[in-house]
Amino acid sequence: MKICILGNSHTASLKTGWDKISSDYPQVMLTFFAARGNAMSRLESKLNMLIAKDTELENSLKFTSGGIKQIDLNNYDLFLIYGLGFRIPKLDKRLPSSTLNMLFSEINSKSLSINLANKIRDIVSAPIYIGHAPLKADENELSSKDAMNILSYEDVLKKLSLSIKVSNITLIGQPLITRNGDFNTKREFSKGSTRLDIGDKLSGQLHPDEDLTHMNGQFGALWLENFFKKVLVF
Amino acid sequence: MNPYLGLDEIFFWSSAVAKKNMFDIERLWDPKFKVEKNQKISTFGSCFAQHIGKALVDKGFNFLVTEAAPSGLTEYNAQKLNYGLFTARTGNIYTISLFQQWINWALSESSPPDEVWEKDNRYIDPFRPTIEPNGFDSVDELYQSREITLEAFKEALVSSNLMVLTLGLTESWINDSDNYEYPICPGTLAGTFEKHHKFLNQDYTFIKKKLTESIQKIRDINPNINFILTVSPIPLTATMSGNHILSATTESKSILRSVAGNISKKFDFVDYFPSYEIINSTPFRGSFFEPNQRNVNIVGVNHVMKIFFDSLSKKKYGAFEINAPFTNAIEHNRVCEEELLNAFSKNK
Repeated sequence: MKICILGNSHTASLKTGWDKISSDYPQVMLTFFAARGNAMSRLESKLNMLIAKDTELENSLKFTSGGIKQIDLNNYDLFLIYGLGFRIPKLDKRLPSSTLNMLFSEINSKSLSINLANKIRDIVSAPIYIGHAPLKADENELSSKDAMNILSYEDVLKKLSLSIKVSNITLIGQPLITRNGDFNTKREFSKGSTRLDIGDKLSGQLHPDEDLTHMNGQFGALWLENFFKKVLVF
Repeated sequence: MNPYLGLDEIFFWSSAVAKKNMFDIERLWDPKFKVEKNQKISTFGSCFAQHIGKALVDKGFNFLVTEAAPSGLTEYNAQKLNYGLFTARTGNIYTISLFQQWINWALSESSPPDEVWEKDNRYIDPFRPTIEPNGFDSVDELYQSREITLEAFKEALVSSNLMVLTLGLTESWINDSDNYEYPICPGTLAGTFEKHHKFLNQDYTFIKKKLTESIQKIRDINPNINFILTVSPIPLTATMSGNHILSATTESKSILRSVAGNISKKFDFVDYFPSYEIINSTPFRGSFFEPNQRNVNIVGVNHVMKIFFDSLSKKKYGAFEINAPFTNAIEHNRVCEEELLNAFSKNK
């Protein structure tokens, strides 16, 4: 199965994780197309391809994919869009439905992930999966009093999924084993995370220890294993 | 020899006002206490108070917001949903008795009544009538939303270092059967006017008592909190007093100004800021009002805020901060239910 992964710096953990487990999945070929920050917003559709509008992005795509500058969407069986600012908000369950609807509508209209999904869907009908940016690492859990009033992670994911208007798209949650409570990642997974390797001097450098938003290869491996359970038919 | 000899020039009309360009009238406020930028500052009160929070943010002060908009909502939509107008999403609190009512509910000393207003199949919170632009889907949603606000309001009482309270009105509407107050007369924006809805034009003694009680109750749970009182310079939209609107406004504002002055003298931890005087006094010649002679224009708002922050700066540093010019116009649409009363005037 040929899977195209598009993402930002968070993709580094998936790549590092894939390096650890790829031999367990000989039937899977992952091609990563990644760039730091919001650079993927500079992809444009041309015929059956997604093409970089500038050289900087093109170089990043070429490096992360192992030599491919342009993304031919017909070459893949499914797509995973990962990170790209798509976040799972912590929401008070007592908020009015109109507020939630407004929020989800905004997330959809402003999200780079959804924007890319729309571009892909305009060209191919292959399944698209969206993985949200990792939950922030934190050792502390919400107090039981606060947790009582917060919508569960699964509920937010469900409501967000329902709000997405792109056809045949699935929101993939972060595996339970990586989470500390509902809205945090276990601290161990943010230690030793590295910068996305795009072939520049920052590539592969460790993130500072106080970076609680980027995850390591162990996280990436667990994330992918969870993802494969959902998408692969053994 | 007499006590006027040697008095500072600001104590004489001629030197302090008559001989000055209105924008050069200075030293209007000598703050009682310093306000540090890291102090948590909450704001509540009437429509005019909405300008204060924005100004605090603009000047890098720590405007305390205990009821933040859901993460991911744009500023535009957050504002549409009335987030960030005040520290918690109480909506306008026009009278001190309403403020005390919120305190009692937040501290569970009494419970909000069940009353809900229905309009066009939507539900309106009688105590926050414009908080949801299109009303709530259900009564349950309304109650739950208010629960969030009450928690946030309590958090504000407990954790503020400084509270800026803007006194707006003396005229009020009470549910006489169950003894609670509305921010706006039932039947105007929504709801039905009934015979147990009573008008109360609060007097000096009443307001002073309510303000003293409120301040003391807050200090009981937050012993180090300071207060700055200010009186909204915005005239009444309408009056039930039986007096001409001009007289009613003057009486109302005079009472509020007297109470604020008295309380600020009585307590070390309460100060008074003269936004009312800045906008309304004769030296300013009404130039801070819009053509309707009621709404305060951007120049007026900015001038009030400039004096506020310049005075605080002088208190802290002994001089005005040279590198902190007040930024331009806080263009911001105030939410003011009281203005809606104008819709009921025969001659608009």
